Amino acid sequence: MVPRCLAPLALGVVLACSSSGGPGEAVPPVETVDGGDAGAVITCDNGADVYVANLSKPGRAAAFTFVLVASDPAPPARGTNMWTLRVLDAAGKAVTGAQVAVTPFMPAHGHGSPAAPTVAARGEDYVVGGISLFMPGLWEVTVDATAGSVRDTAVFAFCVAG
Amino acid sequence: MSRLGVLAGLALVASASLSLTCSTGGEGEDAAAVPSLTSAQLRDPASCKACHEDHYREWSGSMHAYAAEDPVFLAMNARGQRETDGALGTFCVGCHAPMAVRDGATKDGLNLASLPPSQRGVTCFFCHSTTAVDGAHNNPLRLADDGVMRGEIQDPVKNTAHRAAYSPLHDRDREGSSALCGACHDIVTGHGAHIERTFQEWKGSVFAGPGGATCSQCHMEQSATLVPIAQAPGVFARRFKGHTFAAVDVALTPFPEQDTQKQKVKGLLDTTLQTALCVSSRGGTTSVRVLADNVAAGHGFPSGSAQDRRLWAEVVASREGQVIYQSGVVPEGGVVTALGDPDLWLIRDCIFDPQGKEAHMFWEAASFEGNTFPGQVTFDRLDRRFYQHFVQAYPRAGTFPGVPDRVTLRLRLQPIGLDVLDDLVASGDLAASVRGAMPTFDLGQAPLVEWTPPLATSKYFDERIEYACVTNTAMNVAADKIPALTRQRCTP
Repeated sequence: MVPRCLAPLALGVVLACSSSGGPGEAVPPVETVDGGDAGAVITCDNGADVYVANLSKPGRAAAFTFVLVASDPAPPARGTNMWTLRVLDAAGKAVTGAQVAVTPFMPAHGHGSPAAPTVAARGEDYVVGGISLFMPGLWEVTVDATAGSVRDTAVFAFCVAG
Repeated sequence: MSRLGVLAGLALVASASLSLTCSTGGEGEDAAAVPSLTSAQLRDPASCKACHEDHYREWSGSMHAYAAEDPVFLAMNARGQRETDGALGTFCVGCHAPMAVRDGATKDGLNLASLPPSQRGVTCFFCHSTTAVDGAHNNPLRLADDGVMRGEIQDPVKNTAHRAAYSPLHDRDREGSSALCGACHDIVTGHGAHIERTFQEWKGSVFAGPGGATCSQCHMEQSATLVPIAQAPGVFARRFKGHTFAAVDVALTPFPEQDTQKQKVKGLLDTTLQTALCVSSRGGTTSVRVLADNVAAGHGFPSGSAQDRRLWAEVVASREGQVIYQSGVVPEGGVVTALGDPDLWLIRDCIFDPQGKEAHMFWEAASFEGNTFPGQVTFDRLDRRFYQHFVQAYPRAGTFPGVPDRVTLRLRLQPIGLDVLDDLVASGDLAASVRGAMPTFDLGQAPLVEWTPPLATSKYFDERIEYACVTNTAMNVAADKIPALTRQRCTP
């Protein structure tokens, strides 16, 4: 098992070796007790997107651009999430009336979510409900859009904290 | 005078003015930073409530708070003390009421009802005073009594209630924090049987490393938004860490936050397993395959006191409304172990006494065997163990007559089997009313998996026989499969 980057934590370990203040003594701003080796930091793997509103991804077929207009909660979190998506054509115009499917998947674990998210068109956007990111880890959410004979796909990847 | 002596002296002074104010002191205000809670007050969870209202509320409904109130625990402990002539001692209560044991207030857990709240259950003080983990099972935690409440906040706000400090052991993102939980959630009996292995299971899984998840990351979910984590001036808004500790057990008697606890338990259980129901009919006969995979638990499933848990599959095949085959159908209030069903798929541990005879109470256990679902062991998709789709055949051999037009599957779980409760009721240690409070969870957000020919669009081949499948959990039915684990020394 390879320890994760411990650089920011090394300082904490150093502070752990300093004595904790007693009553009446000045207490250091960050007091760490009982340091020792508490093992590696377990967090999500690299490869995740950093969520911002209106995060956009080019489609793999270069036909569409997919925009994650908003996520609730923001950033995507453990539990049930709702996304607002927009699909843009090559001219940057919103594609309405497309068939949109959203599929969450955990590549490291080889499984998806129990239930398929629901998609409802709303003006230029598509509101996707029931995106179940039910456990911590890296989730890849594939957005597939088909408008007429044109089909394209993009993947948004987020680390969901425990 | 030792530091402890100074602390004790100040505590005596502070105790003279008992009103607790949730006020905070800033940098340099060392007079205001003198803690006002005495050691005795810190040990009482109610003292935490004044400033940590939400933590206290959640904890008060948790199995940690219920640990010394649980009638099943009380019954097993009472019977165990009796049947071992008191040799069981503090084996149970060492985890269920650890402060009572440490204070010398109990030697067998038979007097817990007479003890104060500070000595019952797994209290705030117990966890937040842990300084080291000196072993891997049966509560080897080392505690401090220095007035410092330890947690994962690296910049705790100085306050007038207690000193606070960052502790890597309490940092949910650190691998070592799982050792703090595992210390009580792994149990080795007096005969050397490792009957509760949740921590060991986690350590052997892919969750115990980069890309994984600690116990707390799953069982102490954090808020999606920043909120004040104490009701006091100057407190920063941070991610609130849940203290419900939802897992599998629920309160069986009136207890705070009961509905919330049960809802959170169900939420976890519903997403633990992936399942699929597959059917093949040829020549007027049929065989059914149930696929199940533990995808979300960072340990085995079921886990903990797996010898008492009952997880089973209910399969019903019908044609034109008439049942032509069934397995695992347990009537309401019925006992799954009494079914006499040769095809029953019951997932649990069995325990055996030193002579190898099947035992039913944990203190008798000298060995065990089980067929529980293991946790995920690799992230490598090229490793054959990546998918752990266990497959069970119905019937076990051959086929059953008839061609169904509808087949249903439910995976059902009793946290403690009704047969276990009946045993305790029969021995006079448990009130019969508790039996009716034990839930039977039907697992899954859509618990009933329904197979009909039009719905069965996923397919796989088993020795050239095509199976048509349905899944409510997006299971990849074509992935590698492993025959369901079987137990050799006990049935069902």
